[in-house]
Amino acid sequence: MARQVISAVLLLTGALFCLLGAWGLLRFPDVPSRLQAATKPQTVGLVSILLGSAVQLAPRHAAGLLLVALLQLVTAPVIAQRVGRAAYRTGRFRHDLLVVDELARRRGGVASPGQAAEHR
Amino acid sequence: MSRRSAGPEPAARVFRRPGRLLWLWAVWMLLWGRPTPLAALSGLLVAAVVLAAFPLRPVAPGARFRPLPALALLGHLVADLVPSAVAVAWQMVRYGPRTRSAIVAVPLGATSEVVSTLTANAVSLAPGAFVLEIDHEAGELYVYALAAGDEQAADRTRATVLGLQRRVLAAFGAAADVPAPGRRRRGARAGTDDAEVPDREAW
Repeated sequence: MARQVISAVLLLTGALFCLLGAWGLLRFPDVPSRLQAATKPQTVGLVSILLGSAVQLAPRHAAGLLLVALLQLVTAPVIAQRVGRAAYRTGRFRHDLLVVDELARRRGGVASPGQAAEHR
Repeated sequence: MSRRSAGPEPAARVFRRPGRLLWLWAVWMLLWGRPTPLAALSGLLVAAVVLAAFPLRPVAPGARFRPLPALALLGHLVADLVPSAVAVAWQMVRYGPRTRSAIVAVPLGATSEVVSTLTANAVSLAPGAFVLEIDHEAGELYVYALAAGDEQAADRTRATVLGLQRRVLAAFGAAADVPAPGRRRRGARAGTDDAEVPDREAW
């Protein structure tokens, strides 16, 4: 019984975070902010769902799910960095929404394609 | 892209780092989910082949692994996960399409590649931030953070990143990098900005 309750709470919490992540994809204005929605709430949602399922399973199967959670935690930041970097270099940033951009300063005003158009 | 440095021979590489062999083997066993002798044997074989075929770049000399600070770092990151997701969700609900953000340069000082890479990975689990660009030569991270139009957010981001770096250094840094209490960390760049980083005093 206790196991059912823990599992239900974790699964529902996970679903809620996944929903928030999906909503964030729609609501945020540009690639980097959408990446935030796709990595953070989504990761917590997935891990929570995995834990909720692991509670119901025999330990040897649960261990596999924990491995999935670990790999998600390790790879999500890497993906965010690669995609974010590519987005910056191809001008998929809303530069008008940046309060500070110290990377542009380093690149010495060498605008990425599309940046000039958006920066005005 | 991935530069392969001329390391030791493939066969030597496999046995030089038994920890990696063991870890890959453990992952293999977890994937199989049932400890049969065949799975155990084939796991060893696969782990050896993976290590021989895909060399990692050599770790900087002097870098060490300290289990206790590493556990503390892991705990800190896991504890950070949920607040981080909540923070992003709150930004999304509150500001949505008008969310403002900032790209902040964080000077890490002279640290090894391992430390800057791990710090970058840790930062991406911090609330509303991820690393956009890693400049290994200059030892700088360019961190993107959701800021909600707040000018102080840049300083807060810098403080967060440097705090995480301190934890990574404690766990994986070379002996000289680990800050003794009351001693200034070697290689820390002072006054790169007029930003008052609260964590600096703690060094």
